[in-house]
Amino acid sequence: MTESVLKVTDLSVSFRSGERTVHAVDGISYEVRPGEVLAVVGESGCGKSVTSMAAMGLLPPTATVTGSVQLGGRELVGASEKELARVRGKDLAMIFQEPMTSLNPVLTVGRQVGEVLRRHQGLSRRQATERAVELLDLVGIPAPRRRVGEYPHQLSGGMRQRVMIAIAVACDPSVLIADEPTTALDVTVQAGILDVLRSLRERLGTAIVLITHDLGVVADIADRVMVMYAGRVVEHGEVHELYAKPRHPYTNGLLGAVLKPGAEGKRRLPEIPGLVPSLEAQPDACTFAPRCPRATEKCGTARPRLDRAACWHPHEVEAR
Amino acid sequence: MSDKATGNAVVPAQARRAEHERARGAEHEPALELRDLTRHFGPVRAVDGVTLSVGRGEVVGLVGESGSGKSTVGRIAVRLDEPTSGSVHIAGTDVTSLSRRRLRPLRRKFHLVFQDPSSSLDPRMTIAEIIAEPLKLHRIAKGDEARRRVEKLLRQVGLRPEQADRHPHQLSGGQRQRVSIARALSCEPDLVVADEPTSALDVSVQASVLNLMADLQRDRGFGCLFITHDLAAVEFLADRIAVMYLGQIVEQAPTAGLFADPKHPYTQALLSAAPVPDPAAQRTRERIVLSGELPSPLHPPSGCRFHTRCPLAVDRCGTEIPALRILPDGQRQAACHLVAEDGTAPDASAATVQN
Repeated sequence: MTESVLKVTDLSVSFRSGERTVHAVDGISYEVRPGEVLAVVGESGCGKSVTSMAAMGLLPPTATVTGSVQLGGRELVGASEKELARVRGKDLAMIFQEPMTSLNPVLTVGRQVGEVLRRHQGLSRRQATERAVELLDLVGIPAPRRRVGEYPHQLSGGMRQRVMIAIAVACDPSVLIADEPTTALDVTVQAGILDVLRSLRERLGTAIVLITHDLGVVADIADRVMVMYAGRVVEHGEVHELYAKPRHPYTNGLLGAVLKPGAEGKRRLPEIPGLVPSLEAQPDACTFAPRCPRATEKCGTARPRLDRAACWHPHEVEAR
Repeated sequence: MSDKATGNAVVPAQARRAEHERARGAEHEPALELRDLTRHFGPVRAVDGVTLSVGRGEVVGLVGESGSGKSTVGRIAVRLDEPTSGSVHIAGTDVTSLSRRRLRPLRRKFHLVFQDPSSSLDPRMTIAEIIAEPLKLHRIAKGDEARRRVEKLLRQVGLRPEQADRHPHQLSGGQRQRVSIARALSCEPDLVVADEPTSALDVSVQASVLNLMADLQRDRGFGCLFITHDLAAVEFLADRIAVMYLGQIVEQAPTAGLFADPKHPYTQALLSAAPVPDPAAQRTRERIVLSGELPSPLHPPSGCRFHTRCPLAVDRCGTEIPALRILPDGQRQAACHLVAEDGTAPDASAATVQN
């Protein structure tokens, strides 16, 4: 088995706000190997984005981060801004949901792709532009030589996201964190972006951490899946296995509630009753228990350990 | 301008009565009827000749990608915008060019539910005030009666009575969308236009809101124009689906038929691009990859607007505009030269297969 490139161990993130402390991420661990696509799945507020922002060192000063994030053996938690600046964009890159807000509207696309190269690889302006053309070609932008001179507003949403990916992979990072990269895009455009991510993984061996709420996207591209609920990992596993035989009742509920195009008819959708718990406490209990059809007394008094699923009463293999 | 007959000098009370009578005589009229609607923003032809009707108690899904003009159609349907040409009839009344004042009493008959409930609910009002506002504006109920109605509506959308005194920020996104739905239904409208009502919601919350909309629609029987890019959501809720591309409807069909046998190559591409949440199935599916990008509505392509990206396009597609024609089964419509006279569809996946 190859060495993992990104290793997160017992990561916790909490935010102070006045008297309250919100525990957004509560002791999560995971690893990603080269060329692997790990999907981090969960609903809003489950901590999936905070996890990666912590790895990138992009959280505001109100956040307290404990635990460890190791990138190729280098510790990122507690690293100085200077150290992080050397890593970000070079070894560890990130793309976000909305490319328009991440791109600078007054600089050409070529300049923005080139900036990373000039900064991290010391290329000249001309070399950087040449390389930018290659990168735009790599992410499937037609007529890249013309496009380098264009501004973000001249591109469609899908093309902008491709530019973001080109910037992210410019320095051949070992890990690419993609936070909802296709959520703002149309399905026909989304398919193209997923193809780009797939080809990066195959051609460059980039490890990809894909943060998404879309179980269709996960089914399309992920090798492994990590399901988060209220700041904790409730289940993880190989993608086919997890979809076919979810063990945790929350995973089971999510997969039941998701709409399946071409198979809907007039059925009633299974719902998950209740609401996500407040993140102010870190109870020694299963935090899904109040909404769980399988919960017993034990679930309210002891936190289940994460095996494949963090559950005292997991669905057995034949479930569903 | 078909309402000139009623004149501009009519006082509002008389106008209301007149509208009322007309509406009563129009029980069998569709909840919404759009005829040859166009909306041009300067040179941009956002909507270009849309004809669509929503029957009473019928849910019609309007599907398309960004820039297709579907939201503009929705805004025109509830008269948040005026068409450049064409007409809008709601429950038999022509509302195309009514003045704001003449329109106001009619507004109780139709309502819009927006995508983002946090920006469409007034943060300073309580939930009860938000839901009661249309009742008060239309002088349907006030005081204790309004309070009773609000409580009933809250129950119907699955909220607890004590939540009536909360403010929007104290509720979750799903609960806020339930409030929007309660507000939309407070005046018992004939027509609800829902523009991406579940797109901002999480999977589990989306399921409960869709169930709620299906239940309420069945119980109350309002007509609903459900605008979305989410094919699975529309399949769940709609009786009939219209697919838009670049300002025009390219296909219209009963829901099951559209999914089982999409006629237009664009519909085929759209259906094939939506990933299914099943890794084994998803990774073996054939996908139709569209070349190029959505053309600018400033200069829509000649002939069939989809021909620049259609994997099956032939010469004729670039020169001759395909009419939206009724197929032999009488229930379906498609605007494509390659759909045969007997309704046999071309197969776009045969032209560009990529799995």
